[in-house]
Amino acid sequence: MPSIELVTTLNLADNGVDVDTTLLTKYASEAVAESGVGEPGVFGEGEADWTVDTTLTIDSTPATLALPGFYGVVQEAGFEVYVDGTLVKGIGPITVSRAQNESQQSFSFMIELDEPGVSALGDPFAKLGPPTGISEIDIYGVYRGDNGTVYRYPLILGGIVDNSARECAIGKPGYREVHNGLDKGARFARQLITQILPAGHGLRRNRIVAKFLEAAGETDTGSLQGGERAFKEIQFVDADPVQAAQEIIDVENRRLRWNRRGKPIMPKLKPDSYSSAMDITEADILRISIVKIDAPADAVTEVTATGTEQVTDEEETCGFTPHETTVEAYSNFAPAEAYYSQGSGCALTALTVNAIADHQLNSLVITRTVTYCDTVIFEEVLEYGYFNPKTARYSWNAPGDGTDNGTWDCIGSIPASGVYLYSDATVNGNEDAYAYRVEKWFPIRHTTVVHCFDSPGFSPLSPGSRFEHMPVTMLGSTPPGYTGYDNGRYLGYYRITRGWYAPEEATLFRYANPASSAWEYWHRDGVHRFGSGMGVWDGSLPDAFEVPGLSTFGAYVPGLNRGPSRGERFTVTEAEIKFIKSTEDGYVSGETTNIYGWAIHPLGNDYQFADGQLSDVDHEELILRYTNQTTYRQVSETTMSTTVTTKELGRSARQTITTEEGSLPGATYLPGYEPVVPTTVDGEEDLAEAVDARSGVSQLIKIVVEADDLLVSHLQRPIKVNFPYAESLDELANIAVALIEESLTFEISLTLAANFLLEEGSIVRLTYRPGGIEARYCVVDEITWTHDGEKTSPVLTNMILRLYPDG
Amino acid sequence: MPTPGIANFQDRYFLDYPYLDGTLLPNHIPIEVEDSEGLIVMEAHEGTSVLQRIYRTPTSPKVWDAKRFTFRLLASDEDAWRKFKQVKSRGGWVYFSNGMRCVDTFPAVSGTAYNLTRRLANGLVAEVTANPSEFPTRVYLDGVLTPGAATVVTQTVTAASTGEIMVEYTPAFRVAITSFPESVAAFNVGYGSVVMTEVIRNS
Repeated sequence: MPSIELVTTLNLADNGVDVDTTLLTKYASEAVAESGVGEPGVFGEGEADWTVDTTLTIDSTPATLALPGFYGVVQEAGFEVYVDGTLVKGIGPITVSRAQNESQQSFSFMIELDEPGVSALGDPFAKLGPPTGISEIDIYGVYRGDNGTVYRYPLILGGIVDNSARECAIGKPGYREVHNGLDKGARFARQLITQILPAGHGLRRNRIVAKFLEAAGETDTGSLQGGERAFKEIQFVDADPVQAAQEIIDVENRRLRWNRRGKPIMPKLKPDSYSSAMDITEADILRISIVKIDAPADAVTEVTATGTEQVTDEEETCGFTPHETTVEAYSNFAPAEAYYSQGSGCALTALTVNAIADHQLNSLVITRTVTYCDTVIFEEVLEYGYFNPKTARYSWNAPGDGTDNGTWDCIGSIPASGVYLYSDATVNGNEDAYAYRVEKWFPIRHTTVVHCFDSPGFSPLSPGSRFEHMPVTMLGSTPPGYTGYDNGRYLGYYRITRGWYAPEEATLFRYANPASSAWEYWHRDGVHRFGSGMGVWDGSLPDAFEVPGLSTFGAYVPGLNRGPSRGERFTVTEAEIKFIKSTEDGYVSGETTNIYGWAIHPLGNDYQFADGQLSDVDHEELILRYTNQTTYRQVSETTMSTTVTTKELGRSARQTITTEEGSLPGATYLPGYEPVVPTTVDGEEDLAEAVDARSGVSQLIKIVVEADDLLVSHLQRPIKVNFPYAESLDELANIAVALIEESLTFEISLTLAANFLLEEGSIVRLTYRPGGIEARYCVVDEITWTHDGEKTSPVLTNMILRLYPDG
Repeated sequence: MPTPGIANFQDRYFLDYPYLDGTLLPNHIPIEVEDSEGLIVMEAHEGTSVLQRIYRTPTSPKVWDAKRFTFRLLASDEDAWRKFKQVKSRGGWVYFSNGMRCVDTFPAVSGTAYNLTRRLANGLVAEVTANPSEFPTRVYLDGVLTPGAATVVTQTVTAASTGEIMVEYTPAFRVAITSFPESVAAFNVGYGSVVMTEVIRNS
């Protein structure tokens, strides 16, 4: 898998943020005004979008009302709360809070109970919840000018009360009901949506977010603006639409929320362009609370951002890609050494043991895979280590006199090896012997897996097979699942395991005893056995999977030493073959797993093995030991039955049938052959920018942004972040810079008289000389409008502003 | 030239007998009147002032200065004493007028109806109704007496002009008796300390 890595430097000199790379793209200012609505002109998306509400007339009067200190006017300000369009009278304390980083904005208001037990808003006991139920809550900030005009500014539209509480006290505060709620976004946030967009869809992120919200029931999505085009596959199943949408737009440093007019928007935290909505000075900032200026405390000095970039078919280069990993294990040890050597006369000769422990390699595991566009089609695991194969210790010497009175002669040597024993050995004992005096470096186990697909080049019988070693005849003349068509469906796999194994040989055979004229079991002349008694077959062993009728597969193993001819040898120990049968419409209808291994043939009684088993074959064979056949059948629209039939060597088949809710399993496909997945991409217009691309075909992208200038005054603080929905290095670079900038912002808390013209995301010019601030722009991060309900208390606006390094 | 003093204002500032829910109270009860609401003055970090008043409804006057009346009632008139007891025990509001004049100011738009903070005493209190010239309702437009700038009926002001309309009138206050402790200072000398809190309604 190729990866791209770039290093760039963030230069904070000259009171500005500049990135020394051409990779960064500054996005053009974009309009947020809905088409045909609002004042003429184009507004940066970071601006307060109060300017586009047709119900509001923005002239000098409300502007001066919003800043009574600066303009020296008297501000008349208050709130109005509507429930399903009806004005609620008698509102007491009220607070509306909005924040850039919150997907849902909050409010709280209190009303007195008209009389004990009765609320103007309804009966919570009848609703089994807040008395307003799912009614729409609209909250306005209101000014009245000296010209008699009333200006209403929506603070929350289409909100919903999510909890209410009656608070009753004798005397003050008396009997009242407090309502806490969230804005319109809460109506969609907990819905569950399933949205799938295929790779290469080409939709802009604002359209993706719109689709998520529309699936949750939001119909007014035209206000979503400004997303970049995306091509990566998107799959959300039973997901929260707001959380899912936020994940998609995180990489653009955008936040999804509903604005004051109840319309979903997704502006950037730090806007690309700055058009100040308002000047705020010391004349507007009230002494009723202190002004607090928090300096950046935890500056990020380096960001490593990673992601993946969708590769389209036009640029697709994935093809067949080999991967290899090697794991070496070292420890302090010495290969085991034998204590004795056995002679043909059974004498044990003591050996000099030289073993000295040393720090050395004792295990090596090499894993190789081959992928085709991220789909694994070949796997191989090769394990090496120190090993000493067991070898035969005795051989039967028959008398040749028509009786079974022979002897077990000791074996003194074996071709290419000897007979060695460890410290517990005794003369003529039943301890096992080994082939070498010292353990040798051997391959211990070798496993290979080949995955087959119903497509040319990916199947044993397909033309141009890429697997020259495929056991072509294994499947028979008409292999299950193979249709001969190029449909890319997964057919199954072959897993071949090799290791050290000594096939057992019978030590007795049935012989007609002339003396008794009866069949008896006599020892076989020349048969070899281990010290423990098991017979050892010394016939030819397969390097590869060589069951009758099959060709070889994966014969080559680096470093192979097959070991002694009469003992454990490196050979095929097991073969597992799985066939998957699929229907034409892409469902799995059956699976068959066959496992081959060494076993004593279960029929006949001509030979007897050490543990008493009888057979008509004198040694173990590599034969079919186990079969599991599973068949799926759709019984009805909602139920399916599963039939499992198993058969083990020498045992009859066993069948189990279960029926349960569900449908047939879906077939697996080779990349590029996936069937068309139903998506919400509807209409040609949506797909106008779509390109051909495949699921999971992507390349790693990575960028490192360093802000070295910060190291003069900040400790090194690198962070690593992954953005799964990033589309390009440009995007990674932008978000990396944004993360650094966000960590460098000052937070300024202050209080104004009621200011309903600002909202979260608004840009203001701030002059607060006592605190040393003369900022060209600050971004309103959080804003709260509040009134405590007391007749002599003012309506206040508390704000937290963010001042960026270039502000 | 008449002697300066509130008793010699051109418009009468006292009734001969204060009115409480249909009953005439003894004359010359000394009353303390407190404002309970008005302009809010806040100080900015510049040292200058920021002024705010609370918006109520589009038809409200600029300031809702709800009153609070406190006075010491000598237990001399049994009907009056009984009336205060009865009003308090009912736990609601009643009309009260002692002839005190009030002013409400509206940022008016011609043709729009506004609401006085409290209703005219004219039509409810007989002494006022019988002597409208002594308890006149005066309308000012932008500070100039302009009788035609608005019509005032009961509690409704309908503007005939656009501008700042100020209405000066003799109201009937809606009040609730929120406190009425009694004391007997000596034989045959009893007092009640009455607190009446104005109840603001928009109509």
